[in-house]
Amino acid sequence: MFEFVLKRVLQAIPVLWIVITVAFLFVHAAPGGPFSQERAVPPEVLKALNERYKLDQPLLIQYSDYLRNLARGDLGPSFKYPGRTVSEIILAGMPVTFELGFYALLVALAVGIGAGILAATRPNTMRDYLPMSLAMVGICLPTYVLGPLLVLFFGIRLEWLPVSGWGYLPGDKILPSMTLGLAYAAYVARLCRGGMLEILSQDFIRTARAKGLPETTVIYKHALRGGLQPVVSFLGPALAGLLGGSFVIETLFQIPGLGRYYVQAAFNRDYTLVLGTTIFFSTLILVFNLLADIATVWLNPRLRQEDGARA
Amino acid sequence: MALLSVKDLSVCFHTRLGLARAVDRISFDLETGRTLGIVGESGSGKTVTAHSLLGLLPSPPARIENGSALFDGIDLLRAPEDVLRAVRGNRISMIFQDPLSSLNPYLTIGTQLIEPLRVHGGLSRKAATERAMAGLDEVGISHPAERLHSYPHEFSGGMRQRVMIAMALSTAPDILIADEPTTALDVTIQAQILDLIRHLQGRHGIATIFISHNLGVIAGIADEVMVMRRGVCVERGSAEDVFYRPAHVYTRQLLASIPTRGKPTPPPAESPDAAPLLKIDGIRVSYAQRKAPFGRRPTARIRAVDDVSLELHRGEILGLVGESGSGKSTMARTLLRLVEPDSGSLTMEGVPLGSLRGSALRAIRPRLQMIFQDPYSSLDPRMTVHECLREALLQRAPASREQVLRESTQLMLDVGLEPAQIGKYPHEFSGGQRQRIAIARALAMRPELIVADEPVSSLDVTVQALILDLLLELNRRRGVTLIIISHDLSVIRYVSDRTAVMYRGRIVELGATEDLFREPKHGYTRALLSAIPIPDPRVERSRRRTFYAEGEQEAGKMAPSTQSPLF
Amino acid sequence: MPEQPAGVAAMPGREAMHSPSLWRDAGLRLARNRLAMIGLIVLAFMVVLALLTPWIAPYSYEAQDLELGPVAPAPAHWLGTDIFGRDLLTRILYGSRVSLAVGFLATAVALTIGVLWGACAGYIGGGADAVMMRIVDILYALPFTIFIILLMVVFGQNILLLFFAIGAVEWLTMARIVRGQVLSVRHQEYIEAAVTMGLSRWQIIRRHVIPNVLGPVIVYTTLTIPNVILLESFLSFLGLGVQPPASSWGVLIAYGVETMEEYPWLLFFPAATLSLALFSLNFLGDGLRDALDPRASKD
Repeated sequence: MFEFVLKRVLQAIPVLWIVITVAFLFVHAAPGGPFSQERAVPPEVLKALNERYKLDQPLLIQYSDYLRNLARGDLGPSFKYPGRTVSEIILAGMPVTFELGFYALLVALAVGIGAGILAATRPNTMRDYLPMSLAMVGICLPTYVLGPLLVLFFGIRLEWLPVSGWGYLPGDKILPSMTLGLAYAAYVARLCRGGMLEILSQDFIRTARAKGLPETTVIYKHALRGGLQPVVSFLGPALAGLLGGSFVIETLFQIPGLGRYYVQAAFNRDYTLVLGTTIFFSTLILVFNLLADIATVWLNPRLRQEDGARA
Repeated sequence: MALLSVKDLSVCFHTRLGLARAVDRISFDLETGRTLGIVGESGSGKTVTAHSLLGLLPSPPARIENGSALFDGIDLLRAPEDVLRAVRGNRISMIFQDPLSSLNPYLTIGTQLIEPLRVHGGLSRKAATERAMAGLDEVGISHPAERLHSYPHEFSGGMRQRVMIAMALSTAPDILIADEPTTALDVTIQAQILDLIRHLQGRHGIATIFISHNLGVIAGIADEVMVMRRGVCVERGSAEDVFYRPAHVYTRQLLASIPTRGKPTPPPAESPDAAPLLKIDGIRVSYAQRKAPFGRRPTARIRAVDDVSLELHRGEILGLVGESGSGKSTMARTLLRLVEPDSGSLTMEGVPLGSLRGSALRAIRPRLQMIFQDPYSSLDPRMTVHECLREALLQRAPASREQVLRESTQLMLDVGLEPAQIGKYPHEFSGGQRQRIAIARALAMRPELIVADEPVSSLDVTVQALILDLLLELNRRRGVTLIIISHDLSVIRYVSDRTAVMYRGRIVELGATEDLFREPKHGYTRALLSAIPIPDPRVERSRRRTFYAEGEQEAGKMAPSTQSPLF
Repeated sequence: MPEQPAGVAAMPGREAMHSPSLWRDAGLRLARNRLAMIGLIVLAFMVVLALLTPWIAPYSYEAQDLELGPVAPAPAHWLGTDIFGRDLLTRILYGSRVSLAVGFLATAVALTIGVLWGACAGYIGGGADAVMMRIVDILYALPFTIFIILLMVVFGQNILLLFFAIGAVEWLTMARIVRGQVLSVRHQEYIEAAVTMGLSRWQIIRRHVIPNVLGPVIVYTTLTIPNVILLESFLSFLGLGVQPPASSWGVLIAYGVETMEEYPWLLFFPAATLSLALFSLNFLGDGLRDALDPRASKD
């Protein structure tokens, strides 16, 4: 197990390096520098700016400088937020985005797994069709449609919940978390149902029933662990998706999180911020994928043991 | 008053085509300490019968239409779920066919063993653990305390079935239902498990319902026998009556279809001093060890075939027998150049088969054909029989549409299929018919040698005999040389002129079939022969088995480590 | 056949050559699946409308009528107009062209790369397979949404680039599916049987491997299209996709969201259209999956 984790971590390092390099090259290959957008910048000012940000140096020098600074956790200064470094901006936005992602994941797992078990234990009945139809709606309604709909209903018509912000008013975290989580709840529900149905048709479930175990024990002790495997494998990609979704949610609900910074930075051609955020997100997603892999192996004794035995 | 009394049990299934009756008015009584053997081919309803007694049938689609099953004042067919649950795994236990899939791979053996004791006996965790250890000890598993923490995949097939038995017997049930408990196991392991069941059953006085398709197994274990066919009980009586004085035609058919007798015409087709058709010399094949998805790089190589030499004469039938992992299938694939040997030579009438490449190899391929074990996967599901045969015929020689049609029709007739069915897809045929299609495809190439790898092991007994007869006829009428590979000694004895016994990659004994069966020389052959169940109750009950342990002879030296469990 | 030779009397008639094939079977099962058929019809309808848009659209998609301003659905403007007085129906129709085109073309890109990659990895096997699938694993772990945004930012909102960017993301799953399928087909005994008959590698691929791999590929293609459409509308929503005045469903929804309190129809109709398309494709995909699942055909 330890060897497996170590191997995966070591594999992630070159991947991260490739990501950094590609992102760096992309950003630097962009037509026009960060300051060319503002109209009529006098050439001498442009030159001074380029010098200040070392944009006049050869690419290789810039690249090695960037890597060296990166190793110290310094992502450079932001072009568009003078006086603030990229690291500061990321650190400021990170807690909000993490919190949003965490609540959304809770919603997704709680609703999704619940609905999946409900559907799988009574396949082809109303208890299956209803949650699965809702899941289909969830998959076909993108967050930027679902969000406004929820806002319209709970926020404007019923006036139950605040429609924007994060942490300013009581309950203002509910709508964004729900919006982001429900779409993934739909995926989780489908995966969970599929996984559970597969496991419930296995011979060892018949053995468990033949032993006279109560149905709840059969489902939660014998079936759930295997049935959740597709969900666990989906967690890595889901978290990546949640991050992407957070761009939309943070824009919709005016939440001062990283996603919103990223989108704004992209529009503003704030290259250092875009680059820094890309690297940060990539690292995050690599870590989550790693955790999902480890969880998958840990959940399945066959994989765990075989690896342990040969290690 | 019988312990269990089943009357007029009828079960039907809802299918797309309407109601299908799987079990039709079955009645039997089971007395304390006695064993009822239920025998029948696939689809005879024997498993459905057993499952319906414990309420294990999936409903829908299954529905119990009629009947009663009285056990200790409870009608098992109508009892509410909670009453049934108190009976299941407590007073009536069950063991299943495939010990690999019947144990939960996610939970330790200990957890699974303790469950019924805690649920039914209300034992404390500690007391239950002790009972579980005692149970493991009783079924012959050493170091039970450590074994409790193991997962099912760490056990071999036979050991898993022992665990299942320990689990089933842990609550001291009145009745044990064993559904094909040895079908997935090798013959020698099967013999051990049967001995164990017999021993424990006698010791604890448990009544047993033993379900099997194998008459030999039933003969050894059952006091009473019920023969089922298409959901109906065709015959029921004492084991002696059913085996020695079968009343029903189907029972007689079943007994007759077991190829116990030797081959009618033994002489080899050619004198031994003629040049051999195929010469195999010192073949070795090894595989890189398959690794776990997250395992380390492969290091060990498994030797599947170890220094095998053989000569095959034109027109003869060679039987190759061995248990799983003995390397017999690898051997077959090596002969057909589907697997590349590490070393050794392969010569077909002077042509160095082993060193041919590319188009030269493709040109010689039609002369050697193969028939596979599983007719479900050996036929392309998206080709009709006609397309399949046409592909083969055109591969051999260019021909016109009419020629192809004529020849494929003839092939259908040759293998005993209705030519009108030539436009159908494989999934529309039964297993036996599919195997006939596969034979027709091989024949289309006009081969000189056919290697048949377990050609009948996935088929019902009555069908097995028909396919074997077809192969024998091909040999006699067309002079096709055959290599028949099987784990089933009776099949080998029925068809082959000479027999080679494979054990762990080596041929341990080779000789004329009748000599080998009469006077086996190698210890492993003797063990194998003593393990085959014989459909004769008196013989089977009084037999002494001999066992062969690795290391007893030099043959086990290059032991492949696929048998990973240590016991 | 009137002049059949006597010797071949037992020869089967021509009609016997065609019994229900697996494909026909699957077609029948699909036809029985009502949701999938509705999806198919809706989808076909949408595609036809999108193709005919330049001739049937009631207004020009960029003609503004600032005096008119936003009006609710009315006989002159079935689905109302936006704040510039542009006809919403017309804009949705033109938007469909973009969204559907992205959906189909990007999927085609994904299909091409994915099938080639997966088939090669699966058929060659061994070390090449390990390396190729490792690359897929690594790419899987990358935050592609972020990369596409980066790409769009850096190289401008070029719709061709969008096709390739989205296609480049979606091929990964396709490659995995195809490889898995090829591997399982490869180890079927009918492939070995074909080898023993002396068929060449290419003949085996063409006659046995491809037809048997096709089913899951079709299913997954159907399920990729909605993903792609969603991704495009997501980018357009963020302002990174199609540029105004051109429209796509995502662009229209983004506008609709801004004004949803005052002019709800501007959100409702584009969102409904997008959801309808996604529903149709998903139902069709699910239906195809059930219809082509060999396990379903056994009972």
